[in-house]
Amino acid sequence: MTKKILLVDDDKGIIQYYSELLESNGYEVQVAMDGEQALIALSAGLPDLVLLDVNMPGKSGLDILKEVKEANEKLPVFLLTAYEQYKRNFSSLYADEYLTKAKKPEVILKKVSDYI
Amino acid sequence: MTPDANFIRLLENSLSISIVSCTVFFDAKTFVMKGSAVSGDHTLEVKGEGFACILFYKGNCRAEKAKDIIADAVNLYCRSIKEEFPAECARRADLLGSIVSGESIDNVLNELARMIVATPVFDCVGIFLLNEILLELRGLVYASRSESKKGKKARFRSRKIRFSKKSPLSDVMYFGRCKMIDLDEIDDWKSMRDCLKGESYACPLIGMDGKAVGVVVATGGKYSGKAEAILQFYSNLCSIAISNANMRGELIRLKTYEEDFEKVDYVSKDLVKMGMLAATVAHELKNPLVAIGGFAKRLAAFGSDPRMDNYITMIQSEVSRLEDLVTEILDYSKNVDLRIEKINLDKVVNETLKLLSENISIGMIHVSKSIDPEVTVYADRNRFIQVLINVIINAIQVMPSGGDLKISAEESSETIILYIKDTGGGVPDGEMEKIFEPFHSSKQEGTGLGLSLSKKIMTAHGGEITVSNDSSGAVFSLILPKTGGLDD
Repeated sequence: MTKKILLVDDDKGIIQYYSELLESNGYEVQVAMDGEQALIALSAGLPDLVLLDVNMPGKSGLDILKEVKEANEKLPVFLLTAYEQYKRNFSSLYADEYLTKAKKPEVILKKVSDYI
Repeated sequence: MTPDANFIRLLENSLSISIVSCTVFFDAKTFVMKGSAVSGDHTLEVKGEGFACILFYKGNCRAEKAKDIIADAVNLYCRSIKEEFPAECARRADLLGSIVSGESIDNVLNELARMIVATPVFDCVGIFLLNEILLELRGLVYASRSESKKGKKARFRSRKIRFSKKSPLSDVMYFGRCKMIDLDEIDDWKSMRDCLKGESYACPLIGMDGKAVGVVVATGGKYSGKAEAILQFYSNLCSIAISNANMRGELIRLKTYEEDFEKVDYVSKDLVKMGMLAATVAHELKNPLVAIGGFAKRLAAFGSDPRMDNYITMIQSEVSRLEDLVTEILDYSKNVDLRIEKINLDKVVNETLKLLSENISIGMIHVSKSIDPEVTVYADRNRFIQVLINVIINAIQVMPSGGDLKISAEESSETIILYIKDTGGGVPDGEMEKIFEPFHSSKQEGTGLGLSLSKKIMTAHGGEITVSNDSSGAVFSLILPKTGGLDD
């Protein structure tokens, strides 16, 4: 069965880039443009993995991470950041992977395939 | 503060509600206490031995837990009215007083620790503060009932517990939930085992922004909902004390630096304006300069007088100096567009050194280099060379009578760092922070834009440029992420 990934980012360019990358590798991608949309999508049905941007207006990726992990500890969540410096806080213990957006596509695909 | 006001405040703080009124029926009398709220949406009735109480309030709290806390507090209140046992209530009121009056946080936490072990349910308690950046717990206030009875103060120990992975204790803080945990399951707890071990209650300390600032861990024999409610009550008091102390500290800091902030704001606004002005002026200067230079060149063709030749040469050299300056200012004010490609670090450094070979030999600079010839980076070749030139020229200029220039590279899993080290005595203390600011220059020559532009370029790469001093000079670190932008 096709694995479903929820992609949360407020940047259209990033959404397009990652959607195409993941879809061309056989994943089904569901998109949310902010934290609120992400929570609505999650309440409608759980994906197999969540790719979550840290820096978003309104509810940040870190807020969403906490809510996701509180309800479904086992659902893998990757945090996407532009910079490395977010790494040191509690979220780094609870996110399954921390990826910088500049990572090469094959690195991201490998990490995703490690989990689902 | 009156005892009634203290009582209301104690309930409000520990239950996180706003009270409209609290009516206590005791000893055939009715006592009505008014709270801070004007309207309420809940009532709670609590009956205890010899008393009843009706609480009218606004907010949400778990009724079962709240009943325990209220019963406990009203019981103490009633006893204090009968003057049977006012000591404990007075102690709590004193503690609130010391929080309000800004008593040192160490003393407040100490007293809280002692009060927790004075309850019948807990023997030992530790209050830990969290450093979230380091993911460490430290600054433990520890009290045990046996020591407390001997009149000993709670001990302050600076032990650290580091979180390298999630654990039941980190869950308590991350999710903000009070729960029972087994301390023996926690990594890195060994050093704490002489104080606290085994099954225990843990309650998070919550800061002003709703995030955990620490945790209270208590152990004892009898565990019940009541024990949890009691620990929750005291940990809420701890949270209030810590938030209050932090706010006081922040207020003092803000007041002290108010003037400085204004000054900084003024300077930064000024810098932006100055940058815009400089860019406009530079742009307008460019055309006349080209004309002056061109005409001087043509004039030279007519020259026969050696003095005129000399003057024309001077005009030309001054014009070319001004042109360089204008180009540099324009360069700085432009956005940095990058053409990222995979480049060999060693080769790029060699190329740059070749470009600068004249400056290096005239400056009597001895260059040594240690870079793995296999290392590649993702960068805009020309822009990166521009940064290298800026940094190396800067190094040559701070060594007017010659010196050593060492270039080396270091690779980590995420980044590649290129170190450029000179023997020019280092950056003076006060200059460290300003060195990358535009228009900052300690030298006679130059616009003060070279290093500032370099920073802009490195940042556009997702990298960084930093400077530090070692024993003989300055060390510039050019940090590049191992991979480039999205389209690599």
